[in-house]
Amino acid sequence: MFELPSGAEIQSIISILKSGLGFFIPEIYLSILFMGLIILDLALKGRNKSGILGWATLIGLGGSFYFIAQQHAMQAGEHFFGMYVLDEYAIFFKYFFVASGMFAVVATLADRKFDAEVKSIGEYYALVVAMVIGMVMMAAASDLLMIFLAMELVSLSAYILSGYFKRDARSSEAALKYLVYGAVSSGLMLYGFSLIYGMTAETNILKISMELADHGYDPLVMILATLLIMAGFGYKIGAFPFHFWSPDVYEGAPTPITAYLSVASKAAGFALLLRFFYIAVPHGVSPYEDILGIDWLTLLVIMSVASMIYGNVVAIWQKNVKRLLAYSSIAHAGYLLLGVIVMDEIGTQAVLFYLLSYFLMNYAAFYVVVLISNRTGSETLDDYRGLGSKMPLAGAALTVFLISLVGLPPTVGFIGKLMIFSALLSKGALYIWLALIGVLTSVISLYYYMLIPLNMFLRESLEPNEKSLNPGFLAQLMMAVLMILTIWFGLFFEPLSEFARYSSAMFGLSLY
Amino acid sequence: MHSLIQLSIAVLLLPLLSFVILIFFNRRLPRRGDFIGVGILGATFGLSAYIFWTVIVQHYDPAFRVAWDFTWIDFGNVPGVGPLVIKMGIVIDNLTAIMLAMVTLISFLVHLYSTGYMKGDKHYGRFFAYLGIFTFSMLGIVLADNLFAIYIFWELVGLSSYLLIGFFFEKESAADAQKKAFLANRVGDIGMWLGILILYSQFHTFSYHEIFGHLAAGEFGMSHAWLTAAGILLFMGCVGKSAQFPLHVWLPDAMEGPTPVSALIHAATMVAAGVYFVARIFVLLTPEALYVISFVGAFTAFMAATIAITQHDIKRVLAYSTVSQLGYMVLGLGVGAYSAAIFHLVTHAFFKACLFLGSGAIIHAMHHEQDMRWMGGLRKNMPWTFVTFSVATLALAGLPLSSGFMSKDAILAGAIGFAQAEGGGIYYLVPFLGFISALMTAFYMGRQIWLVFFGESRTHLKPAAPDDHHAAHAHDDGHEGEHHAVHEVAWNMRLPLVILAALSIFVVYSPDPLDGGKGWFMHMIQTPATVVGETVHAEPALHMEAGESLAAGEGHEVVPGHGAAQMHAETHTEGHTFADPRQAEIGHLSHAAHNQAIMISSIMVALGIVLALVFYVFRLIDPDKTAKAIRPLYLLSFNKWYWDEIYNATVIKGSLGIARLLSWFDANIVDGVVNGVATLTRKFAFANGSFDRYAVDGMVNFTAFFVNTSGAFMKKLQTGKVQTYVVMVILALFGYFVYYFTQLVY
Repeated sequence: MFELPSGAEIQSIISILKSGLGFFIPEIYLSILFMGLIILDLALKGRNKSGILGWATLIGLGGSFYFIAQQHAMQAGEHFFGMYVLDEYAIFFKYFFVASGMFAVVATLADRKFDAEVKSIGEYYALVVAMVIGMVMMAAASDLLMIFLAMELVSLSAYILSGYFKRDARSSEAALKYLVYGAVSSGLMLYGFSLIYGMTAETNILKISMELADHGYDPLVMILATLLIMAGFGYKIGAFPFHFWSPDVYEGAPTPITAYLSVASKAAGFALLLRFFYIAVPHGVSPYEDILGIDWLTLLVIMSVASMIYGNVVAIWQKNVKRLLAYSSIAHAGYLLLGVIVMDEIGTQAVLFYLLSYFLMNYAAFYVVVLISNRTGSETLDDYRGLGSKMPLAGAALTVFLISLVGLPPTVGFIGKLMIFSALLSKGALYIWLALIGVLTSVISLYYYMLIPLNMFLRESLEPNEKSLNPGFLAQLMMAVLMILTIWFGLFFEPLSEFARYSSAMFGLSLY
Repeated sequence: MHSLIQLSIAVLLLPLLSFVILIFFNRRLPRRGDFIGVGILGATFGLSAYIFWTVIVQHYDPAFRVAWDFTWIDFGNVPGVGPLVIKMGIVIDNLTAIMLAMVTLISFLVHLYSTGYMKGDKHYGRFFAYLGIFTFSMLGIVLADNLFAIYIFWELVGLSSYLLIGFFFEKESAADAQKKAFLANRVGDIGMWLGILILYSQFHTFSYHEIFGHLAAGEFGMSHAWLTAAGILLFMGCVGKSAQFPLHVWLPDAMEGPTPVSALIHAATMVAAGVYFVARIFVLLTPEALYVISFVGAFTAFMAATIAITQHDIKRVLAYSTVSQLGYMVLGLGVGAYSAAIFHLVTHAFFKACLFLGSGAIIHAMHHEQDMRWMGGLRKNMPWTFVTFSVATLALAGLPLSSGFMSKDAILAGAIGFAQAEGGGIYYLVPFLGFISALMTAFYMGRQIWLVFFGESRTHLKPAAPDDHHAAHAHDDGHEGEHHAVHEVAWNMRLPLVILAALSIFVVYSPDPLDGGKGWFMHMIQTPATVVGETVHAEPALHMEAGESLAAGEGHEVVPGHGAAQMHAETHTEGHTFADPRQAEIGHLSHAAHNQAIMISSIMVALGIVLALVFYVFRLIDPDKTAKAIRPLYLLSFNKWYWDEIYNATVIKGSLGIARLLSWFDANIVDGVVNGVATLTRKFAFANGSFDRYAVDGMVNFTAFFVNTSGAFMKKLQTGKVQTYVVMVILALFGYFVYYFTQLVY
């Protein structure tokens, strides 16, 4: 029989909740935006409804930067009974996810397929915002319950979004597969959480860490719990062998959502993975060493190496550009995991920087794919033939983005890979072979990425058609800006790398 | 940031803007966008003139200096090297301000001139774009505050020069000249880069200012010989770019480029960049390096002058004269007459640009006739060109009242002082060659003026040889047998000539036509104290020259062994001395030699002019007969001392020989080995069945095949059935678990 809390206790709970609210303003703002968009959707009528909704979302999301920026001045720490944490690391990801959401909206506005496939845009934009909220909370969650809730919010929004083309069989199939696979992964992860709770009677990851350090644990249970949790995280980051959903979903989902999932959802997974492994898994001076006899490094190394090899090698065989980019995103998860393996300040900085560069180049590449498919109605490699002369800017821009994805200078992708590999090498000779695999698989990626420019510039179109396919002034401007940024940050990367270094502080502490 | 720095950044970037606009959009713009090039350069010149005004007129301080830099790349702490930071920055001092104004003015005038000269060319717009990128690169050299940046811009001017020499790339001779220029420069640039690396290896910085500071503090860790080597290697960059012996061969051939380019790049600015660079690093040159520099300069001045005497092509005469004058500047730096050398750089830039643009006007008016033998009598038809060309010729020959007179005399006085300070003997060769070259300069310029402007037109004397390029050109244009009247050129080509001629008159630089040292120029540019001389503790006034000429007596005090010596050295006070005794002595003696130099050089110039009159005006001696009488010498000069042939026989034949040897090695030994292996492998494969095929195809194919097949295999995992996916995950988890479990158990 539970005892009812006394009046004083209730008062103190309320006051703690109240004090936490001040640190929760961006999330509250985004929630209001979410609801506002649904109401706007109901209130609006007419042909331009989808455009107005899109722009409203864009402006609304942009507004949240104001509230996020104010959080830099606030004291880092835990709120809401240790459920939620505010630190530079979380703020970094808040910027990241809001920007991702905005880019998804931009890509949606550019995508003509929405006009054809979707009668009413309805709650689409609201769901994009809901996903932003979920991801923001994932990056800031410091409690197992909070982690689960945030992940489910992201997943549920993503299921609906990926199936948004209801009449397109591939889209519906994607949504269904995503749902089934996601449900299994969430279930496995939840089981892992419950094992941890069973061992420590705590849900806060800091307290879990202390409890494990103080009282020890049964290694067998610990292995099982962590493996199961990895299944959940691995599904979010899309690393081998938890990646199986991603090619099907990426291919079937609307392209803006594919881009959104491949960048933002993956980044959210990494945000969680980094925080969880640093905090919840106790480690001493050198990471992993004091978890009794368990070789955690091997687990991550296997996932990383397998992702790099599998993603790059299978991508060679793809005939559909979206699917090709899906496999390449598995490979990129592998590269990012290399940064996690390093598990120190340089590694975290490298991961954050790589995420920024990946954000830029992957979104940009998908954006061009959207523009091209607007004109040609297709995403297969064969239909890219001869496009270089018809859409010269798009061709040039896509080539730059793909060069960046390969990791060649002078692009931002090169700096990203450079930072990851140099972080690995700074750890000593043991990690050289890992870096070597990374470089070799990058060489493989050169082959399949360059298939796209090859088709665009060097092969004749299957159906000769001389008219040029102008994607419109705004789109051209956007591509030019993204292209310049990709090269600009490849040359002047200091602001980004400084931002990444500054943001690698969790809980307001330097962890190392 | 200082407002001057902000202005200078604008000055630097504006020509680049012109390049970007013109290279991409010239076909879409009216008049191919030439007004954009001219307009932007006009604005650039306006800003530079403002900088010049602020620095030179308002501050009027020999020690004026504004610097700004930023960290360009920070590699952090590189293992085995230490902190590796590359900075970029701008420094503005009097030298920079003067160079900025000079470069942008000449560039602007050449842009303006080209609107007339290049009119109707197929690649008219592209020409202006190239001029823009050249100007940008040249300004970069002028503004840079470190060796790394200067090297980058150094290569960029090399590139623009390459593009512009080969502007008429359909002509084979232009394409060859362009390659020759690029390769010859490359030789010099490699030396320069090695020199930069020697200094970098010691001080871990590229900044001049910091390097000088370290050197003054005696922190150079290697032997003195290395420092000399660094100086000479850096000087090699100048040898290439400023066409000094032995890399001078490219510059005369570079005249294949359009004439405005010859004026801007191959006379006034880029070739002077070498001299500018040596002036920038002047303080770190050891006396030994300076000897090398002075002899190279003297020899170049002399050799080029001898060649110029016998050339027929109007532009080639001017080209060799440029080489000769650059030799003077290098000589001036070598003997320590720093300010005189820079003075000559600037005066030469104006009068030589004027001469080239004048020759361009003549060529333009003569329908691409360049051979002086078929000119003559142009005085009447082209009065403007005649007058301006003559003024510039007087300056080049070094007649009193001209700018060239003052600057050349200052150099020669420095050379005499140098020879005296070094104790005579072989060192007198330097002033001797200088004076002989002055004589020859007067002679060949007299010859040129006479052949081109006086007498009667000799156009009709030209033999119409079928292989003659120009004749063929005339035939193409349908001018066969008729001679067009020669007209004065239009205003847009005349105006630059007038401005440049006006800048070749003494009053611009000094109120006293006989002594440049009394003018503002020599006051603003003063010889900096060396940072590598003998360290003598500063004694009061070794050679007090209070109130005397600024050219000689003035210097800077260096406190040896002091970290900030260089900075200290730049605080100028009236009438103090060099701490380095050698520098002080040269300064003293060259001041004393001033009147002597004026005397001798005036006599030499007079002699040269008299000779020219005797040969070409009064025809007392027939030049052709003289040539026959001294045929070996004539041929030596006419064939440019056979340098091209010598290089052909040694360097080119040598490299081709090595190439042939390597090719033979490749064809016979390497291929033999490969073929042998292939044969063996084929037999082996034949014997062993088909699976060996991949080994023969080589690693690359095999890897590709392997990757491909493994991809094909692995993609089968993606069945498209979500049940399989879930099973895979469970299997993977189970696999991991078994792995850890076994680890735990054992």
